[in-house]
Amino acid sequence: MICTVTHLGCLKMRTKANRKSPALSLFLALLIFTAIVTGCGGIQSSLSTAGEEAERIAGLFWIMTGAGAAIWLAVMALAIYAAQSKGGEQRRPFARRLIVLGGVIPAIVLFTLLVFGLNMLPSLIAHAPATAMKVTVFGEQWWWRVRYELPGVQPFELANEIWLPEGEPVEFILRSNNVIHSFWVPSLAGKMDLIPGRVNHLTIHPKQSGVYRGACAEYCGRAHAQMNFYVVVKPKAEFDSWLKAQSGPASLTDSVEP
Amino acid sequence: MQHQDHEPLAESPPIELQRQQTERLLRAWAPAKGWRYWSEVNNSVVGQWYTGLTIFFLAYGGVLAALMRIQLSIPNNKFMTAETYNQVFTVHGSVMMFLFAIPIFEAFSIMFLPQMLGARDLPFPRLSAYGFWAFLMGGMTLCLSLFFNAAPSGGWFMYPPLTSKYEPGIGPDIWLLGFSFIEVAAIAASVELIIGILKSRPPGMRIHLIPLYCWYVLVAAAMILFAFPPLITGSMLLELERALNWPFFDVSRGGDPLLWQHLFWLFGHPEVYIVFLPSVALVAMIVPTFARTPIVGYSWIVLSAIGTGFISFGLWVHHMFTTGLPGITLALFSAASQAVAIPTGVQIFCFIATMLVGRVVNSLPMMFVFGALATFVIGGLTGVMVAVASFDFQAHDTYFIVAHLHSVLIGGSIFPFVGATYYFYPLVNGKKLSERLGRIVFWCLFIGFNVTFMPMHLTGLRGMPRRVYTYSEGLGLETLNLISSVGAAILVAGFAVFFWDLLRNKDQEPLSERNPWGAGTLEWLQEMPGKPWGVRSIPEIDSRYPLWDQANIVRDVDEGRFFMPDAEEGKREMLITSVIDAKPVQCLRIPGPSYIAFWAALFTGGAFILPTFKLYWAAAACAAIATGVILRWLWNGTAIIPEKERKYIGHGVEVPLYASGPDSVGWWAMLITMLAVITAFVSLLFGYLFYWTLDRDFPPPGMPGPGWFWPTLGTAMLMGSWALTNLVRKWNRQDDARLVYGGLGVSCLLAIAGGAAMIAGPYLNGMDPTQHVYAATIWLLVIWTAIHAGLGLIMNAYCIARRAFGRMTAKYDIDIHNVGLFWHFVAITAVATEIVLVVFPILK
Repeated sequence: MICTVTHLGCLKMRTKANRKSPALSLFLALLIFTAIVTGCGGIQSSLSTAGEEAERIAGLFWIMTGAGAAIWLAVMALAIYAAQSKGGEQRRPFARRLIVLGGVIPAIVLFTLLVFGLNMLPSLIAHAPATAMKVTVFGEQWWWRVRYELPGVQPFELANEIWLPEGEPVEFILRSNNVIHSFWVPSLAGKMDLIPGRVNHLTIHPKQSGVYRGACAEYCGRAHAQMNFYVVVKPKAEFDSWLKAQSGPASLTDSVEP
Repeated sequence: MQHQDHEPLAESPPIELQRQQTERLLRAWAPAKGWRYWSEVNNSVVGQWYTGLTIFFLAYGGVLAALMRIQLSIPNNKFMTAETYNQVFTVHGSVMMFLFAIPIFEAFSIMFLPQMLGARDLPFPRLSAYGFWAFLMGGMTLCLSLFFNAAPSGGWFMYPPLTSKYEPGIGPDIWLLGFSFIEVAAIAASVELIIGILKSRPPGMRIHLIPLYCWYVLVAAAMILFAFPPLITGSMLLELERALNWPFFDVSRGGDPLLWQHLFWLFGHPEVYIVFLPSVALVAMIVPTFARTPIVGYSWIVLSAIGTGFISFGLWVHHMFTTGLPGITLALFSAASQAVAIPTGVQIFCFIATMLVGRVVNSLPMMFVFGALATFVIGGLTGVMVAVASFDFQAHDTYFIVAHLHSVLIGGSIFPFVGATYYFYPLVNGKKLSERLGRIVFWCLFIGFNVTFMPMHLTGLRGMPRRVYTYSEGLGLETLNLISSVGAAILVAGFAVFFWDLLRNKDQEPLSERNPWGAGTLEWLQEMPGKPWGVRSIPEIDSRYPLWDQANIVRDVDEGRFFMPDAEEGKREMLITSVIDAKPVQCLRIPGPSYIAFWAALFTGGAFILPTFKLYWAAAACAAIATGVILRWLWNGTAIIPEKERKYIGHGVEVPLYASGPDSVGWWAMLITMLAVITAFVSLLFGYLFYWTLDRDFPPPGMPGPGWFWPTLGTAMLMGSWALTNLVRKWNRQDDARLVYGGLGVSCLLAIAGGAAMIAGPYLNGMDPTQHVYAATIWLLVIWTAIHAGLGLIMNAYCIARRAFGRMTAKYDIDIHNVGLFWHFVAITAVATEIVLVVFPILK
């Protein structure tokens, strides 16, 4: 719902009668219709956030979308106005100024955006604190091998399943010994590639308990589309007891329901 | 208005003279008939073939997209298997990027550029024909592979290790070798277009009077010279790993998959501007016509186009934001990627300014311009969004990017292209396309585009990655994908109507009136239908819009009152002018119909494509035959000594028929081609430096190197060959035959010995290229140098033969000039190889 309201709020309707207004109205109607019908939610959605990184990026997205929509409308209105105007030499000075402004104003807007965007960058790519839990993920063809090697606990591996405690940062160590994959849980954070010969890392701060779905986001062969996994975020106490159970001997248990 | 150096003839020439001139022009320029039609090299004919073939590939790629959208319309669809879908999306992307988006501007330019410049043809007609045949061969090879289940399936950017170790079929090889062949042809077309724009303008068309389309094409063609070679080099590395197990991207032997990504995107990012700039160039020609006023901000546009082209080479890493690069890298490329929006925006505002000053006439081409603007600006804005690395972490490799790239490509390429087709069509055969059908096409494309791609922004952010053959239920992706698929159907309908309008029989249609849109630029001098010689006489111009500003120019051109109104010797001739001021400098005789370009393309194609099927001996044979064919082409068709020194072209101006050195178009062709070749070599050096700067063992301890002796000996000998060849140029001028033959002979020996010495380094020291990427890189560097020495050897031997048979003399010496120029680049290559082989290991 927030999604829809933001969409509507950001779009300014113009009522100038012209040959392009049917097209414009159609376009805006389609946008709103799509947003209303589909919404933003879901367990694999970067717009329905449950992690700090995803939340920051989503905020940036909405601001840029709003600004972008406004800029698009302004440019189209200007173009339509120019096409309809009677013209003449007296418009030339204004036209020249328009060209200069067309360089200067975008430069200012872009610079502002650059500062904003760069400001967010260090926190997104930083390592987690040294005391944070580390989970190693190996990209296989076509599944995710998840290894927990934690102090005081027997190491164990999971397939396509990750459990995390709510409210604590975790550092993912990302590796592959076959092809390039990409680890992506949109509800929690941005993505990071698993590249043979390299060790990449991704820091995630899950904020809300729940089950989230991840996908492989770098084409990796035949079953790339099936290479999905689940991230289960639990309150700390439940996570700790799960951890203790995992390091015990294997037994048949129910699998995680999405 | 500037002063013309030469006014047109004050009086109309006698009718009988005009008739004779027209007859002679027709005899020289009439297209060949019957089967010989396919040996034609005239730009109008080759341009039509090229455009037609490109549009076929557009349709082919579009059908593949329609199939993809059918598969994705519902979750877990069984319409296509994963294997099929993976081949289909790879071929869709590859066909659209390599067989449509780039060739369409080359095809258009071959067809129309000479007319925009008041020229009769491009300077190297057989090169255009060669480009076409190469394009046909390479393109059909890729397209047909799909029917044999042998198409590549690694995505259009073919990342290793997936494509190096995990795709054992011939698909990737078809991609790597087939496209390298096409890229070479594209570079050839660029060479031709650059030289055409710089040196075959009408007298008086000074550098600031060039039509904007020509400026844009100049920038795009120059970008091709520097953008395509990194991909050619990268493709060579990947193919060597696949075929011979040389470990460029194999981590266990020192390689790195990221080198491919760097080389590919060094090509890939400028590529999209190479696609965009010539398309926006079409807009730059259409807007002034319908605004009834010269373009406002001409200089701003030119500077912005150059600026965009330049900056675009500094952005490539934004395709690699999620590979784990350091923050400073992300920040720099993020900033640059945003910055490129500024010159792009300036161009758009210049068009708006032109519409403001002018009085815009409602017309079909302008509708497409508006469609282009609306669509492209969306793409530009989402482009800025993903340039912000923080946001790209979510958007990268999702349908958000699919939405972005199609917005800029459809907005920045398809809409201008379709609009330009409606605009320029009368120049093709004198008829107009249907206004009514055109409007249907526009609305279907505009609505179809929005319905297909606008939802994809949301689809991507809601979690759908790229290149998935299906998706699960319950993620909220069903409705969005269904809407996109419905939109795709509307797009298909629009294109179907467009193709119908193009292909339908127009025999019963009336001819269009001359200059139907009332435009101001020279291509609209054309009569309806056009005559095979193009422009009747080559005008002197002094304005950007000669048809608006120069009184009676149409009559003057038609009556032969300007330059070169005749073909006295029955040959095809065009006027070469100086680069900046467009003063006449040469009357260039260009060839008529010839099959040689076809044979050259066939055998070069064999040399490139047969290795796909592991037929290495057959490929080597093709390479040898191709060399022979090209030598015959050069021998019979270039640097022909004319029957007289100078020719009178009218208005008291006599120009030479033969030029050598920097005055000759052939020398420029060699220079520009070598810029591309040296860029490929620099890309190889980039690879070496990439491994060298990574914190790895390069060279690995204990591995034998090439030593210092053999590389140094080899370099010294090649430098000797270079020096001698350039001395021979001087000796030839002095007509000292003994020194010429002696010098060339010794230089040939030095070339052979130098090449062999280079190879001796790694060979005699037992370097095994399959063992480690260091050995592979060294081997590749010396083989590259040796191949260049070999080419130099062939060229020097050619010069000996030319001199011996009297086709090269002291005065008529194009050949030795061009060969001397080639050797400059061999010298640079040899020295660079020496430094890398001998000096760098000491530094480490």
